[in-house]
Amino acid sequence: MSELTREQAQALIEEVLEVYPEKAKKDRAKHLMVNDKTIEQSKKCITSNRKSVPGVMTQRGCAYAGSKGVVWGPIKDIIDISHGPVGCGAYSRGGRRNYYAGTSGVDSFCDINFTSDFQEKDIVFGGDKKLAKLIDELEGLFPLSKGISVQSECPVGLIGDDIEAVAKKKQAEIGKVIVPVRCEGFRGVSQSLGHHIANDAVRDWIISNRDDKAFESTPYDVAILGDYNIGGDAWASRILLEEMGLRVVAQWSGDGTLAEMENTPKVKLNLLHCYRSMNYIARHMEEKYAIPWLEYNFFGPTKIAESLRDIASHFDDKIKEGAERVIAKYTPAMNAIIAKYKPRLQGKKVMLYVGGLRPRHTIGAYEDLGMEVIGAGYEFAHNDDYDRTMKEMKDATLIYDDVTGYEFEEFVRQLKPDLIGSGIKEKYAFHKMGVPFRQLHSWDYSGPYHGFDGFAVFARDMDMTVNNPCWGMLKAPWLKEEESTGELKAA
Amino acid sequence: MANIMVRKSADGGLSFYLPKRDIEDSITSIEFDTPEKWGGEIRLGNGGVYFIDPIPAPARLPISVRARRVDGVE
Amino acid sequence: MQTVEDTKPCFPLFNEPEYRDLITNKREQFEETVSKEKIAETFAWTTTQEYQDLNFKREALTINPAKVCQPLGGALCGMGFEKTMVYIHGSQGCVAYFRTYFNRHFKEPIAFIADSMTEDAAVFGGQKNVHEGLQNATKLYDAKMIAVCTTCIAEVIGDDLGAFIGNARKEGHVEKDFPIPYANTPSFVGSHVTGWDNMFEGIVSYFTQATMDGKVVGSNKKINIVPGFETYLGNYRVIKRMLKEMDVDFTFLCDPEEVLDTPANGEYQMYAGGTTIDEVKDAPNAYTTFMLQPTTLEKSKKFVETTWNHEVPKINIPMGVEWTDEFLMKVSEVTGKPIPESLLKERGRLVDMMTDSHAWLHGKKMAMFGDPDFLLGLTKVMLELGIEPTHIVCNNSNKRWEKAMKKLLESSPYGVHAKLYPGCDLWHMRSLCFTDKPDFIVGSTYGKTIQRDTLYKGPDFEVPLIRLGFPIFDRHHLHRMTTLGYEGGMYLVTTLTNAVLERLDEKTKFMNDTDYNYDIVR
Repeated sequence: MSELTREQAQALIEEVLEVYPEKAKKDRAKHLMVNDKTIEQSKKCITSNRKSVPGVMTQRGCAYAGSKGVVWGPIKDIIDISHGPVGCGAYSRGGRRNYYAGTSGVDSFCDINFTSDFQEKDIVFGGDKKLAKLIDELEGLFPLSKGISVQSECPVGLIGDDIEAVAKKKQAEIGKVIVPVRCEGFRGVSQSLGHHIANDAVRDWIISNRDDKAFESTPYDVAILGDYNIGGDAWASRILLEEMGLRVVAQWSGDGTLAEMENTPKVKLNLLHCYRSMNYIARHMEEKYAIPWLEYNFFGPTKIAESLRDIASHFDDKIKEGAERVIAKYTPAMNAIIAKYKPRLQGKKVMLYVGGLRPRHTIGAYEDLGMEVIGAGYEFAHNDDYDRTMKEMKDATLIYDDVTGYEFEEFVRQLKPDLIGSGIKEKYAFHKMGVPFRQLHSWDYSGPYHGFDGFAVFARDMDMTVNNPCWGMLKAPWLKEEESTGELKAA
Repeated sequence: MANIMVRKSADGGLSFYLPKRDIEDSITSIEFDTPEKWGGEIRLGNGGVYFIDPIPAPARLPISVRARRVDGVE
Repeated sequence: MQTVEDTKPCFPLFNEPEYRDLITNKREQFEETVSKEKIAETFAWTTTQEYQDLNFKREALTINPAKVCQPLGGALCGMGFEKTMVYIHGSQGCVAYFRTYFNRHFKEPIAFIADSMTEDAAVFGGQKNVHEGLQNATKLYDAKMIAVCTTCIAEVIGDDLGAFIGNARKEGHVEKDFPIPYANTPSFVGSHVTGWDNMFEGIVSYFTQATMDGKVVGSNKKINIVPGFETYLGNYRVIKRMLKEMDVDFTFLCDPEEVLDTPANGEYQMYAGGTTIDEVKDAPNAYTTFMLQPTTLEKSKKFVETTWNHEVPKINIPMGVEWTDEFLMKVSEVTGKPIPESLLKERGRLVDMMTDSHAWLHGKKMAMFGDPDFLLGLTKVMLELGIEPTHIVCNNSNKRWEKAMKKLLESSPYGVHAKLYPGCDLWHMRSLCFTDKPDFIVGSTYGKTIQRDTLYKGPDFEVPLIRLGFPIFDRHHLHRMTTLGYEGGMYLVTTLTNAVLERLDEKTKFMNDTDYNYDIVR
C-alpha cells in the first residue's frame, strides 16, 4: 500500500466512523486523528483517557488490571491478594510474563493466585473479617513473605469494606508491610487509573519506610522504574546500566522486591521506562527526595545509544566513558543483526496498538530494521503520551485512541500493513485475515525485547513472523486460479 | 481547587502537572516570581489559566501546591 | 551477549554466565532475601504433613483456585447461538479478561462486548450504559441476538437487568422485538459452570417460556442436546456424528463449534454456525433433552422439566465405554432408532485399544482436578482401565457431585484409594502431591506449578502433569480433541498411555545406567 495523503487518511477515518449511531460517532471521532507534525500539543486533535463507549468492542482493561496485573503483581516477595470474587485473580495470572528469580511459594509469590474468593455472604456481611483471617492464614503458610497487598476487586468498594483499617491492624500484629489498594475495576476509565492508584499506594505505605535508616550509597546509584521484566526485559536493561558503571539499586517492579522499593529514595537518578504507569512515583520522589527522573527508551540500537548517553550525561566522565564503551562493545553485534534482517524487512509497514509506552517506544526499533510505523494507538494513554507519540510518527500516519475492534480491522483492511503489533484479543482476528501479527504486550511468549540483547530477539521475531511461509497459504490454489481467470475475463 | 505540581522542565522553563487528570503542560507565564512572592496567576501552553495563592519562592522545585482553575481547558 | 548466528530468547539467554551473575548479584546486594539455607528449610517444611495440616485449616484464603467466575461461563454459552453477540453488563475489565482467557485457550478471536460501567454507574445504576450499549451493539455488529450476562458490579448494586432492557425497547434504543435474552451471573455465587447454566436457562426461557401453547413433546421427532460448559471442540463433533450415524434428528442447544474454529482464509468471521433461534423455539417439541453434564445443569434441567415437560433422561456424562453405552442406549430408547453397526465397531475399537494399553495403566495412581462432570467422566474412564484415582480436587463441586462421585468410586475396587476434596484448591493439591505422591496429576495447565514444585524436592518426587480439562494455555490445539463418546475414550486412552510411556523413557534414557529398560518396543 502506498502512503496515504493527509486527505486520504482523513477520509478513511470518516468512512470508518460512518457505521456508528450519531452519539457514538461524535465521541469516537475525537479519538482518531491523522498525525500532523506541525502541531505541538496532541489535545488539539485527539481526545484520550475518557470513558469507552458502551457496547463497542473496547480492548481496555480496568483499574485492578493496572494495579494488580501491572504494577504490584511483579514484585516478587510481596503477596498480592485478589480481594473479591474468584475470577480476577485467575484471569490476571501469568499472562504478562513478569519474570522473576526465586523459589515460588517460599520467598517468591508472583506466579501464585491468592484470592479471598468472595461468596454471597461476604457481599452481604462484608469481607473485612475474612480479610483479617486470610492475612493470618497467609502468615502461617508463607512466613518468608516480606509484605502483603490487598488488591480490591469491584465489590469491595461497593459494600463499604474498610480494608485500610484491617491493613493497619494486621500490619501492627504481624509486623509486615500490608498495603490496601483501592483499585476496584469500576474506578477510572481503563487500566491507567489503576497504575496511578498503585503508585499512590506505594507512596503512602512503602516509599518513606526507610527515611531514617542509613544506606550505603554510591554516586552512581540509579533505579529502573516502569520495567516489568516481561520476558526478562529488565535484566537485559540492567546489564547495560551495570556495564556502564551504574549501580542499579532497584527494579520497579519486574523481579523487584520490597527492600529495593524502600531503598529507592536513596538513589541519584530515577530511570523511567514506562512513563504512563510510573511517572507518578517518579514525580513524587523528585519533589520529596529531590531525585531527578529521566525517560529513556531501550528498544532498538539507535534509541538505546541515545538513551545511554542521555543517562550518562547526568553523571561524571567515568560513566560517560562507560556509556561509550558499552555502545562500542555492542555495535558490531547490532550491525550484524541489522545486516541480516534489514534486507528482509526493509520497507515493511507496521501498525501498532498497545498500551503503556510501546506504541511510541518501539518505533525506533522498527526503523532500525528499515520498517515504518504507519499507525499507532494506545488502549489507555493520556494526552501527554500522544504529545510524545506525535513527534515520533511520520506526517499523515494514523493515530487512534481506545480503538474499537471494528475500527482497527477496517484500518487494517484499508492500509494493508505487513505486520501488526498488538494484543491477544486482537491477534487471532488478524491471523484469519492473513496479516502477520506479533503480540506486543507479552512479546508473544518470546523476549526480552529491551536492551541490545533484546533487540536481537526483537529482530529475529519480527522477521520470523513477517516472512513465515504460512501467510502465503490462505487462498486455496483452485480459488486463486478462479480469481486470475476472472481477471483475465474482465481484461 | 486541585493539587498541582510545578517542576523545572528540561528546557529550563517551568512545567505544570495536574496529577488527578494527568495534564502536563508548559507554564508560559507566572504572575509573581521573586524570592518573596511566588505564584499568582499562571498561564499554560494550552491556554489554561490557574491561580496559586502567592507564597515565598520555594527553595527547590518541584513543589506541589493547591491551585484554582481560572479559565481555559482542563 | 547475542550473536546473529545464535540469537537466544529468554531461555537460554538468562542462563548465560553474565546473566546468572547479574541475577545473583542483584539478589545478594539489593533484595535482602533470607539465606539459602533458610529457603531450603522452609521449602522442605512446605512439603510436610505438618504443613498440609496447616494448609487444610484454611477457611478464608484460596490459593490457586481451579475455577473461575460465572460470567465467563455465561459468555461461552452465548457464543453457541447463531449470530449472537455476547454482551456483558458491568465493568469492561472483566470482559477484557474473559476474552483473553478464551483467546489463550482456543487460540481464536473472541468477540464479546461490555457496556463499560464506571464509578458514576456504580452510584446511579447502569441503566444508561445498557441503553447506550444496546443501541451501539445492535447497530455495529449485525447480530441476530444479543445475549446479556452480568459482572459483579451490576449484581452488587442490584441493577434490574430485565427492567433496563425493557426500558431500552420502550425508549427506542433497540427495536421492540430484537431478541435480547439475559441472565444474572454473579461472580460471587458458584463458578463458570453455574454461569453457563444460568445463561442457558436465560436464553431458552426467553424464547420458549411465553410460547408453550401448541408445543407437543416429541412432535418434531428430535432430541435436544445440552452440552454445558464444554471446551473440547471434538466433543460437539463426536456427539453430532454419533447421532447422525444413528439417524437420529437432533438439535444441539448451544453449539459454538464453528465460531471457535473458523478457517484462516483472508476474512475474519465474527460469527459462524451456532444454534438458531428457530431451533430454540422448536426445542420443546423434541422427545426430550439430554444434559451432557448432568450435575452442573440443575437450573436448565428444572426449566426443561417444568416448562417443556420433558422427562430428562438420567444419564452420566458420556465418557468412557459404559457411560457412552448408556448414552447411546438411552438415545435409542427415546427415539426408537437402533445403535448402528458403525458405533458398535467404534466401541469395539476403543475396547481393543484398552486391551492393548491396559498393562501400562493398571494400578497407576492418578490425582485429578477440574470441573465436576468432567471429573466424574475421567474417573469413570480410569476405573475402566484399572487406573487408581487418588486425590480428586473439585474446587466448584456441589452436593450432587459428591454423591455421584462417591457412588462411582464405591462401584469399583480401583476406586478405594480415592479421596474427594470438594471445594479445595490447587494449593491443597500441592500438599497432597507431596505427602501422598500419585504417579501423575491430571488437569489443566494450572497443574504445572505442582509438577515444578514436586520436582524441586527431588527427581523422585516429581508428579508429572497430564493436560486434560480447561484451561490449557501452554500447549497448542488440545482444545480440538475429544473426550466424549468412544472416540473421546480413544483420545483419553492414548493420552494417558503415552504419558506413562513418555515418563518411562525420561527415566530410562540414561546410558549404561537405566537404559536397559529404554525399550524400542513398548
